[in-house]
Amino acid sequence: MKRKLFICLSYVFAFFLTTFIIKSFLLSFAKDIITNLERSIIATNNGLLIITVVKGIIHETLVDLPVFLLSYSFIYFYFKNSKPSIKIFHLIVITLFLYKLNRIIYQDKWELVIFVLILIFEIVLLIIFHNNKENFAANIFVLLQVNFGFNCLLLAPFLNNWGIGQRDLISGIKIGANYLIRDAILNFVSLSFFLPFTLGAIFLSILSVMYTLRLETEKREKEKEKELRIMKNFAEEAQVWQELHFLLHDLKSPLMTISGLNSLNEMQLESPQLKAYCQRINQSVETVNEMISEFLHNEKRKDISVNELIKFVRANVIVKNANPKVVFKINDNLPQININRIRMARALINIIENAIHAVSFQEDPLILIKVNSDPNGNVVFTIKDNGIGIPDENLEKIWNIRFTTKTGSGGLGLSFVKNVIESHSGTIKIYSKKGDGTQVEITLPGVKASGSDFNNRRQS
Amino acid sequence: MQKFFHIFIILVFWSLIFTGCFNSNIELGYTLPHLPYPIAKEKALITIAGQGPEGLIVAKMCDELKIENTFRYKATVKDLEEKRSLIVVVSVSKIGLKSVDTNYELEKERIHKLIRKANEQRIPVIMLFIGGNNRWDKLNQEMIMLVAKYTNYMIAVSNNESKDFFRTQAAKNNIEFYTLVKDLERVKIPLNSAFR
Repeated sequence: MKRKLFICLSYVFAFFLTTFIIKSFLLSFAKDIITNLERSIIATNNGLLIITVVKGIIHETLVDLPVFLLSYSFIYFYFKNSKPSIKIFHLIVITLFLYKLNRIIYQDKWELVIFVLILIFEIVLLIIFHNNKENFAANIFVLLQVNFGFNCLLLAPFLNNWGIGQRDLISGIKIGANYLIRDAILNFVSLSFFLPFTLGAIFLSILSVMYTLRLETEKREKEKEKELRIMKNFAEEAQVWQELHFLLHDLKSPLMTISGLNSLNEMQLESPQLKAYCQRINQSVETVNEMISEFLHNEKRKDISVNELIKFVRANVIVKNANPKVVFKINDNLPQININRIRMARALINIIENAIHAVSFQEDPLILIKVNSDPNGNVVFTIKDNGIGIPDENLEKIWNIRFTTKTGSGGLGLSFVKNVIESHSGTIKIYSKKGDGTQVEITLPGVKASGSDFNNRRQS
Repeated sequence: MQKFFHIFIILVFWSLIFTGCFNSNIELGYTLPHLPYPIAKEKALITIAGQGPEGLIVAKMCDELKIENTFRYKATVKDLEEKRSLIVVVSVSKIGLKSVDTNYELEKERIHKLIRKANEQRIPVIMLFIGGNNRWDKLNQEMIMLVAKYTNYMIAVSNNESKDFFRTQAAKNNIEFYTLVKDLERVKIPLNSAFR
C-alpha cells in the first residue's frame, strides 16, 4: 500500500515538475512567437507567418505533452498486469485529472476536441499493446507524433466553428492571419503537418505490432529448437549408456575364459607359489566380475560408510602430469549412504580427475575434498580446486553429453556423474569462475540410523 | 361588409410592413454600418487593453486609412498630450500581459485611468473589439464593460452569441453609436467614418 502511494505521489510530483519547467521555458518561447507575429503583420510577410504558425504548434504541443505522456506511462507500468477495461478506465480518469490541472496552471481554455482525439488514440494504443511490455519507447514516440499532429489542427481557421483553436496564443495567430487574409496559408500548413504526423503514427504502430508478432514467433521457434536439442541429447545419452552396457556385458565372456583357464592351470601346477598366483588371479577376476555386475545393475546398492567409499576412490584415482596437493577433510560421525559403490566411486573419481586436470598448469595446485553432513541428515561432498575455472558461457553446457574442453576426451564424464547422483536421489551443483577455480558440491541422502542399524554397524 | 373587408386588408398590409420594419431593426444586428458624421480627430492614440496582438492590427489599419496615429502598448495619461482621440483595442491576452511584465489587474487600472482622463479632457474614445469568437471569454468581456463606460463609439466583430452583450453595453452606457460587423475586413469602414 505504501509503495503504491509512493508511486502515485511520485508521478504527481513529476507532472508538476515537468509542467513548471516547460512553462518557464515556454514563456520566452511565446514572447518570441508574438514578436514574429507582430513582425509578420507589420511587414505582411508570409514566411514569418508560417514560422509563427509552426512555432505556435510546437508551443501548444509542449503545453499538453506532460499530461498525455505521464498519464500513459503511469497506466503502462502501474497497471501492467490489469485487464484492458481497467487500464482504459484509469487512463481516462487520470488524463482528465492531469489535463484539468494543466489548464489551471496555464490559466487557459480547454481544447476539448483535440483532447478527446488524443485520448482516443491513447486508448487504441493501450489496447493494441496491452500484452506487450517491450514496446514502451515506440509507444511514447507514437504519442509524441500524435500530439504534434493533432495540435496542428488548432491553427486551422476552417475548424473554428467546431470550437478548435480557442487558446490565447493560437487566437492571436489566427486573428493576425485573418487580418492578412492568409487563412488559406494556415489551413495548408496545419493540414500539411497533421496528415504526415498522424499517418506516420498509425504506420509506426502497425510496424511495431508486426515486429512484436515476429519477435514472439521467433521466441517460440527458439524454445522449440531448445526442446528438440534437449530431447536429442537425452536420446544420444540413452544410446551411449546402452552401448556401454553392452560393452561391459561383453567383457564378462573373456573374464569367464580367463577364470576357467586359470582354474585348469591351477590344477596342473605343482609349485605352491604358482598355485598362490593362480588363486590371486582368480580373486582379481572375481573382483572385476563383481565390479562389472555392480556397474551393470544400478539397483544393486548397499549401505556403506563414507570412509569406505573415499578409500575406494583414493585407490582408483589416476594422477597424470601433475602432483597436486590433495587435502581430505572428513567429518566424524557421518551417516552411511545407500549407494551403488562402483558407480558412485566412478562418479567421484571423474570429478577428482577433472580437478587434477584443471590444476595441472597451476604453480601451487591444490585440491580440497571435504565431506560433512547437513542439518537434514544428508551427506555433502565438496571438491574444490584452484584451477583454471569454467567460463560462464560453458557452465550450462558442461552437463551435455559430448561436451568437453579436454582433447581426446569423449565428453561423457559429467553427464555420467549427474546421471549417477540423480539416480541416487542426490543433487550436484558446480560453482566456478574463470581463473578462480571450481567447487563441486554433491549432496546424497544419508541413511537414517535406527536402533538395529546401529547395532549392525557395531557388529560389522 | 365591404368596408370591413377593406379595413381588414389594410390591417394585414400594415402588420406585414411594420412588423418587418421592427424586426429588421432588432434582427439586423449589425446596426449602423458607419457613423453618419465623424466624432474623432487626428492625431489618435492607439493602445491595447490586455496586450493582445490586435492593437498592432488596428494601428496598421489606421496607417492604411491614412489616419495619423501613435501606437503605444502601455499608453499612459501622459501619452494623451497633443492627442485628439483615443482608440482602445480590447484584446486581453495572458501571454501578452506576461510578455510586458504586467498582469490583468494592473492593466485594468491603467486603462481605467487613461480613458477617465480622456473623458475629462473631452477626448473622444473609440473602442474596438476585433477578436471575435477567439477572444470571447470572461476577461475580455470584463474589459469591454470597463471601457464601454467611457466610450463614445464602439466597433466590434461579433456573432449571434455576443451581439446581445454589445447591445446591452451600448444601452447601459448610453453609447449613442455602435457598429457590429461580421469579420475583420468590415472594420475599416466604420473606423474610417469615425475620423472622416
